[in-house]
This record gives sequence, structure tokens and C-alpha cells, in this order.
Amino acid sequence: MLRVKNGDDDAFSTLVRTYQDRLVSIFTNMVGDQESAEDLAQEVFLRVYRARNGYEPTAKFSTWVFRIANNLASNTRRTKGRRKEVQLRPADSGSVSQVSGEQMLPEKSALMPTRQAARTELQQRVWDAMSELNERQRMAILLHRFEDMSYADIGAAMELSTEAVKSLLSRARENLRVSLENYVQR
Amino acid sequence: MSQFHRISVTDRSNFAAYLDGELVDDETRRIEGVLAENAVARTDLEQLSRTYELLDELPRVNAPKDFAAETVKTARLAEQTTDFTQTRWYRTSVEALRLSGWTLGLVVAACLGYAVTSRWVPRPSDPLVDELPLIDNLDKYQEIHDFEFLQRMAGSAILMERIRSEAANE
Repeated sequence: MLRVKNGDDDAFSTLVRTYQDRLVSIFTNMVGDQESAEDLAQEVFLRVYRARNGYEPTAKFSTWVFRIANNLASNTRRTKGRRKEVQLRPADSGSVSQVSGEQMLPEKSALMPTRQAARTELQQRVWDAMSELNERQRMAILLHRFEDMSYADIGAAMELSTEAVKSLLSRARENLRVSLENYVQR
Repeated sequence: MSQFHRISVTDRSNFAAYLDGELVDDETRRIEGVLAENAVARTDLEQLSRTYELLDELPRVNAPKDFAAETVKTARLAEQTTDFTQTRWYRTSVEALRLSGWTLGLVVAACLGYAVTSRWVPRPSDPLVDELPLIDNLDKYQEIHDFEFLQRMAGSAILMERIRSEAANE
């Protein structure tokens, strides 16, 4: 990032490639369709680029990036209101169906049709369970599961105390446990 | 603790953090004690862990191949067209404006302070100025002593005669 600050656009390109899939994945799971997720991910990078002159390496760069992502996701939700909540359900969203069909099953050709159907149903149920969480719980879960971030880093990204993250994740995982109880016991 | 002993709310809320290795040593030991003696707790923890593994079913999406190139291009373009706030002259101007504002504020505050103090706050010399006539004649007043002395002098015929003659000579 310090190279980006000094005007090195190749460094910025490298930085984008490092984080692009991670951000698009998180936003896809936050907002429900890949196209919006790509737009949001690009907006994160544009904000990083705009803020490069004032960047000071006081915290982890990844934490800073995911803080911007979290703020952006929150602003998007506030702007779009309940319309976005409806989009979270894959049954209502063509884009998510596309994600589910093509990218959630990279090894689908190796599965028997019945197992494939069961897998698709499970993925749908996991998606539904995630969409039932509130936005903060969902973001905390994604940062922890996808990014392997510690509670302290999640707290820094979401501007919460470590204790609040602990509580948030505990409630989120308990909600998921209840939602997915039948699938866990299989 | 029997295996039918109820798990406390605090213990249950710590299960996720225990699985994530985020508890301090004391809390970890406590949860391990609960797990060692409570089958229900072990089942709950196992369920919590297996539920979390199901999140691997969530989509991991790759950005399009040209995403980075498009993003860099958009960033450059956006900077050239609209983002004058990142230019050196803009930041210098803002900084200069901020400094000027502070300076102006300080000058105004100083003038106001001077005006207020000079108009309403009494100075130590003010009583001296007010009493200047008294101070000028203080020696005479001290020679007179008091009013009774003046009255006695007025009643003295010799003194009055002398005053009249001095006045006539002048």
C-alpha cells in the first residue's frame, strides 16, 4: 500500500488481484448477487485508491480493507432497505441461482444425481440460514469463516470491541445451529 | 457435576469462542471441565462445530478475469475526472484555509478579550484616579484635623481680625 501511496499503479493492480476474490465472495454472501458484489468490491478498491495519500500503516491493511467493505455493505443495506433483504433469498434471485448452479458446485460432475440434489438442497438451506442472520452477524461470520480473522481483527474491521464480537458470533452460530439442526443430525 | 447438570448461559455463550480458541485460559479450563462432565454440553459443542463446517457450502466466488484491470482503469479515470480532492493544490489550499481560519479566530478572540477586559474589568489604578482631588489636598485636610477645630477657630475674634487685615493688605 505504501507503494500505491507513492503512485505505483502496478502495486495497486497487485493489491486488487490479492483481495478481489475475497471481497467478491463476501459481498456475494452479503447482498445476494454476484453483479452487485463485484460493483461493491470495485467501490472498495476505488475508496482505497482515493484514500491512498492519507494512508498511514497504523493497522493491518486487510483490516482496513474489510472495514471499508463493512461500511459499504451497511450503507448499501440502509440505502436499499428491505428490497435488498428480499434479494438475499436465492429462490427470488436469478443471480444467486447462477452462483449456486455454476460456482457453488465446482465438482458437481463427479456426484451422482441424487447426491447432487441433496447437496444443492443443503447449499440452499445453508444460504437460507445465513440470510436469516442480521447483517452484522452475517458479516462477522463471513470474516471469521472466509478470512480466518481473529475476534480482535473482526472487531477492528467492524468497529466493535472483542467482547462484542464474541457475543455476536456466539449468537450467530447458535442461530445457525438452530436453523440447520436437521442437516447436522443427518 | 452430573451429566444432567444444566449448562449455564455463560458457558453456552462461550462454546463458540472455545471452538475458535478465543477464550482466556481460565475460561478455557472452565469449559473443558464442563465438557468433561456433561454429555449434553459435549453434544451441543459437537453440533455447533458441525454446523459451522456446513458454511463451507457457501459460495466462494471469483471475480472476472478483467476485474483488476478494469478497476485500475476506473480508479485512474475517476481521479482524472472528478477527484480533485486528492490533488496537491487542493490539499495545500485546504490546509492554508484551515490555518488562516485559526489565525483569524485567534485575532478576533484576542480583540474581543481586550475590549471586554478594558471596558468591564476594574484596574488597580482606577480608585487612585477617582480619588485624585482628595489626594491632591490630603496635606491640607490633615492639617485641619476635624470640624470642631474649624468651629473653634471661627469663634476666635483675634484670628478673624488677623484674616481681615491680611486680606486688606493684599
